[in-house]
Amino acid sequence: MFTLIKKEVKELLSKSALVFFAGMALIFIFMGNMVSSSIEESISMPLIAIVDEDASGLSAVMTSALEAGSEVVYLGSDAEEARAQLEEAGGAAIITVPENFGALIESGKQANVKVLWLMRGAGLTDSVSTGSVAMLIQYGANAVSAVLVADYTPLDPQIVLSPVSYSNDTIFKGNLIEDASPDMVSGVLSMKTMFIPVVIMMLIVMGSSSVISSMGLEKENRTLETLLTLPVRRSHIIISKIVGSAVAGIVMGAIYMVGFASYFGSITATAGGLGDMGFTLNVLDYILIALSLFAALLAALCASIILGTFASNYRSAQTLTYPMIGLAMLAMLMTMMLDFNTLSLPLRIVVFLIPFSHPMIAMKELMVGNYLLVGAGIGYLVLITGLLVMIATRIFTSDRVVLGMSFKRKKRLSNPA
Amino acid sequence: MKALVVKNLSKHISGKKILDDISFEVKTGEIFGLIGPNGAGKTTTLRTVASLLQVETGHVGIFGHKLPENAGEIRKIISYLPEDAGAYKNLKGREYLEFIASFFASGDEARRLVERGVEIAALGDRIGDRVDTYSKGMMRRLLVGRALMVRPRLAILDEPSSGLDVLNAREIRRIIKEASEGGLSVLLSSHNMLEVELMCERIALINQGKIVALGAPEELKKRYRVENIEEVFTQLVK
Repeated sequence: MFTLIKKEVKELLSKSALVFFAGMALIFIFMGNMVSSSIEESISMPLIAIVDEDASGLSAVMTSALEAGSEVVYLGSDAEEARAQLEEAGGAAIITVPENFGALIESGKQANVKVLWLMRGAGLTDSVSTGSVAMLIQYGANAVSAVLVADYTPLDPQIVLSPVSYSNDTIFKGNLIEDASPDMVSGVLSMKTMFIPVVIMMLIVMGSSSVISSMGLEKENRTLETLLTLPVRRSHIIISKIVGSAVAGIVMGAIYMVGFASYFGSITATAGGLGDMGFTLNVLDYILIALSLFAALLAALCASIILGTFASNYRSAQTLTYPMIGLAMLAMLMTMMLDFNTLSLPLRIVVFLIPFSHPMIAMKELMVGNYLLVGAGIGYLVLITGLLVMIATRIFTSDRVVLGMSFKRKKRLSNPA
Repeated sequence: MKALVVKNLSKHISGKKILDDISFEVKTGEIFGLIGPNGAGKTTTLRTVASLLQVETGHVGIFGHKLPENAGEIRKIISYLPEDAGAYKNLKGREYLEFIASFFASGDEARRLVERGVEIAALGDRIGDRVDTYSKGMMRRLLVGRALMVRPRLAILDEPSSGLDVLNAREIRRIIKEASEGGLSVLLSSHNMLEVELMCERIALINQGKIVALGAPEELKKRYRVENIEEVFTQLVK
């Protein structure tokens, strides 16, 4: 059987397939680096020029506050010079404090600070510093407010401006999580577990695609008939295809995920730790997650073998991967977007019946101690895998594997009368 | 002992009767030909004998082993060459032979089988090339080498020289004939009447799932008072 497994792996992990997946991984790594550098740029101090046309006491408060929160390449009253220096330094914006800035505010009117953006391109990463400049102006406005408040009241201006603060704790699944709002809890939980459905989806798609392609190749190259007349048990042929495809799927998935992890890591790097909120996993949890994943992968590969018997060649095999991709994507999206426990009953049944959703939700559910759901999921997966193995073995010992599957269309007799 | 006994074999596929109560025998060391028009049931007969399709009704026995009960034993003593068969494209010719040999033997015995396959295929240095670089003739020679290297007791060959040029077809016929002289029993199907006449000791003409004539080529020609098997075929099929 080892010879058969080796043949399957060698056939599926061809040089062209490996080059394709390595290329995909490199694209993700490149995208990850781009996103990462954009995020770094957005959280670093913006590079600006300040034009103070007013030169009053309040404009000095404003410009000091702006200086404190940014890297200033120019501070003066010459707009042309400010622009030239900012362009040379590759900065983001010129902030102009206009003439009469102080006088307008002191007379009870609102003053307007102008921002002139130097837009470098129309790409997604070209306007990331917008938010930080807006925050900077708000910081300047607060400083001006503090000065004004200090003139009219003996109270601490910070207290006048922000007299009430609040703190919040959240009870989630019976556990008290301190200093966290529900948004923060679900945000951190989602950010940290979002990666799992994507990895599992990729593994299932790669494994299923491998096994269906293997069947398609056997049919296209007319090698299946020879294989079936060799002195080897049909069950060994099925097991070899499953094991070979699982190995190929894991290798391809791993290569793909190296790149995806780099990309995803740059997005989730800022999320807080789950351990801080009391979400931890023990050894049993990890074993249950591994069991759930293994059972789901086996179910996917068995279903793919059955689908593969419909394939007449490699091209038709590609089409037959669509149901598996669709199911894996559906499970991924549902488990990423929704919480199983808050779904309506019909939707819960749908998610439960999709075998691939179980390993996707296992980590999140185990963190909150929902062992019953994870255990029931593994039991369901074992049952469905057993059923699929039986169907696959029956197909492989019947004429169907040679003759192929056909859906007979019922002919309708037309009645001219 | 008879190499192959097929008795009252019938088979339906998708509700259509493909084989209708056919019976014939292949003697040990004999080359037996099955000829007939497209869709007559030749490939279905060969696939059933090769244990690929289920025996619906009737009896199929190979060297005393019965199908489907002894399918495992039967697969050890037969070699099936499907029409238009191919090999794994990512393997080299020798690697493909090694892959097949590993199901029949191990160690030195497996190496001996591979050397025999290399000798039968006679591809020279090209045996070390990937099979996706082979011409149709080279591929067929490799597959005949694969089928015969394991020293089967019964070779089941579906259109062994189909699509080959005259020289390649002649070479394949020579290889099969030589193996038969060494004691191999052969059941083959063909469209090529000349090939059948040249190679087979006995033939069966099959039409619409039924065997319509059976005997040695000379005997059939005498029986139907014609010059060659093609005319026998034409008389029976029209």
